Amino acid sequence: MATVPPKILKAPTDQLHKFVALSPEFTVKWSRDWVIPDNVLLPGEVVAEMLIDATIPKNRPTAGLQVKQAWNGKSVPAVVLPAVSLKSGKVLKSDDKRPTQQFSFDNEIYDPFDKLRYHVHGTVAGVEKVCAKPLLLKRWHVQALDNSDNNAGNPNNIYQAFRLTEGANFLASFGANGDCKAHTWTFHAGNTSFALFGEKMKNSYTFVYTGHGAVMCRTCHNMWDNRSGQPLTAAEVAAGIAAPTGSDAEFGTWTTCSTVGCSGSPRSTHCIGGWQPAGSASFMGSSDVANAATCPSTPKYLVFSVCCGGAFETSLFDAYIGRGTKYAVGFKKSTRCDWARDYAKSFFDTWAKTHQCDPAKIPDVFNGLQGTWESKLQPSLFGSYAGLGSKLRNLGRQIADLI
Amino acid sequence: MDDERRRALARRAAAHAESLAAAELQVPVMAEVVDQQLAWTESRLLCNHHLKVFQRITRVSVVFSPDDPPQVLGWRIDKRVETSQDKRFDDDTLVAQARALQQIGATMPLLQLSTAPIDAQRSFTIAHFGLADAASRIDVGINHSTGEVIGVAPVAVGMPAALDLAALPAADTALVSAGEAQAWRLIEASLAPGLDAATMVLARSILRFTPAEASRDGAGRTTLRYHLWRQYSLADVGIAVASDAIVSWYLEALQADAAQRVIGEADAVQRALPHLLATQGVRDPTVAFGEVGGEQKATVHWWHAEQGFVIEGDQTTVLLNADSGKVFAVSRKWRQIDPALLATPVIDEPQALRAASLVVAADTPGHVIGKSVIEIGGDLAHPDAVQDVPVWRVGFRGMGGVQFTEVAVDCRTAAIVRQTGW
Repeated sequence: MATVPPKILKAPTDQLHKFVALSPEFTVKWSRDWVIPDNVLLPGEVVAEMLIDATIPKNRPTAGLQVKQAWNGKSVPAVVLPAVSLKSGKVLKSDDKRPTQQFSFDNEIYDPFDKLRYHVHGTVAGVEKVCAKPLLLKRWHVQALDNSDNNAGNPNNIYQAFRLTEGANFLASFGANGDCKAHTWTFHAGNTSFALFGEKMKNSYTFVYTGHGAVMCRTCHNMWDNRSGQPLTAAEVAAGIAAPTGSDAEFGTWTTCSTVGCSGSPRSTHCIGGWQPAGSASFMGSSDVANAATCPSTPKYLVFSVCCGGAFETSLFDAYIGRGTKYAVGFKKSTRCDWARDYAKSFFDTWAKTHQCDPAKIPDVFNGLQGTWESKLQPSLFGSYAGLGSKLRNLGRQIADLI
Repeated sequence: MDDERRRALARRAAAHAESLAAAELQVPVMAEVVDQQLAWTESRLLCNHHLKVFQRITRVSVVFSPDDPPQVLGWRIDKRVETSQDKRFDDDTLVAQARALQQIGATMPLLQLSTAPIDAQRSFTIAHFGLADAASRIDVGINHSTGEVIGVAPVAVGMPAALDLAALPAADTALVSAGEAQAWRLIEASLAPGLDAATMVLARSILRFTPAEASRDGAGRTTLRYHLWRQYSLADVGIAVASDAIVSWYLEALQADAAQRVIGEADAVQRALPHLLATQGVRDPTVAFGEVGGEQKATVHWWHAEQGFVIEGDQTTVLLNADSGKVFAVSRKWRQIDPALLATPVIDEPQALRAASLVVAADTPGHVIGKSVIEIGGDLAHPDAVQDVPVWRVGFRGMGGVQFTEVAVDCRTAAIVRQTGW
């Protein structure tokens, strides 16, 4: 118990009265070391309690709480803290429970990308203290892994042959970083609604879709043809498409609407939600991504889609960028699973391990892989990023002049 | 892979990135390996390097006293010499510049002013200060075109002896670090008037000092010289571990600033051709134009086929800046195929189709895509286990074309050796 020297006051009666003033004694800490933002996949890892326990005083009608960014000491935007009081040595809400904090994009999290720690400040009897150990808000990386091909009776089991490895690769790439939390959500794409898929992106740093994609016709709603070593289809013949050569570069190229003579424009999709009846649009496209009722939020920095033709035309990934996602990576061609697996592993390893998930490095990672994968997969990068290297070179020239 | 092998590969990658940048810039360059990763990609073990490439700006020198702790006695920024041309300031102004330095002050006697030639056209001024005692003399170099102080340093006593930077005792190693810190302060003082605080942080991230030389004079004073570099480009270099061959590279600076498409197809091929090292079974090239982040690019691609077999995975792909025509990335894989593998298949197409159909349940019949030589086996831990196999590739479409299965049937035995697809 801390004390201060006795305070002596002279009363009008000339009598002396002694008072002992006691400093408030209390501790402030988080109930756990780390959390991830609000999400539907791991809700148990979202909430941290603010533990403020006092020995002196034991009760006060009010107490104070603040949550601040550890790196600059500023209050976190949009944090709404409850009124609290000190009851029997604990700072509690009106329902006698501990106050809690959970984070979402409203709190402008992950910006800057490497500022992930938060302090709780507690005020008791006019004295403010801060927790000794900040709370870590881990980067939340989600992979949606389609298991619809996992049919034990089907030798063509892409799930077993490739998707499981892609899941393991994802977890290995992102899981190695202590500031990251990676999670793979395995689901059956054909039986999953757009909204059930979309909600998994909520408050994510990175969202990876590993499943089927298709280029659909906006007019007749049939699927486009693509080059898979098959003879020319009637629609391809009608469209004047050249005969296949069988080269790696040609394999997986989308050609034309499979309806003979249809001149409808293409629509890139994630194959979520299963086939719809003839004449209606199948699968998840740009309008679904753009719809906040379907996707409450798209990832903060990266959506990466290992699916066929997602980038054949730009609307699908433009929709993610339009919702605020910084970068998107997809493929113009149909993606042979072994190639897509290797590309994704190279990309994730470099971004997560070499660059610690720095979003500014995404274009560098993408560009570094261009030569090897351009002809096989035709990867595409969406987002605004051109010219960073040139800006640094210009700064370098300016520096050289100033010196 | 042991550390020595990793270091050797890193040095090779850095040397390659430096050669690319030096060819472009024609100035001294230095590559720094940011990260090195082993990767099993396309049936081969690659050692991939991510690098930053720097170009030299100038040299910066710092002089320390023999005291404990050492005191900074002087400094010099070589670049300030280069711009010294016609003398535009009178002697009094130049001396006043020198006296503004802490080492000189208002009272140190000026011994003389002299002019030091740089070349036939250019020179700079040296103001000599001090007393009769040789050890007290200090020279101040002044750019007499701009008035900037180039450097201030005590005049060496005797012939300075070079120190071996690779074998310095601990005290001198600490001095090298202290000198670098002092060099940073000098540079930041130069930049501070022209850059805001945020840009200064960025500036520090793109500059590097590396020790260049060290010497000590007869009075025990140590002069440390550093190269100052600025970041020129990011780079990636991939090396095949089995062969030590550089199989891919990328230099970001050469990709940049490609606002428009200037080069045509024939020009692109001509510029890409020196990077095609393969001679056997070369097919095409194809040329495609596109853009990445607003930068226009051309892609020139060759592939490999022999005797009717596509040699799967083999390619040379060259990416060019479509504005400048410069090659900014190359990727290559080209195997030497055993001629015995290219013999007429023992298994014919119908037999291959039947063999493949036995293992695939699909809603449409299969179709023979063609003959290929593919690689099977091997992984990160067993890179030598990769084998080339001649196969018939048989494709099956499922789910209306959303799903595709490709079955590879050994042309010699009808064994199923691989399934892939999407």
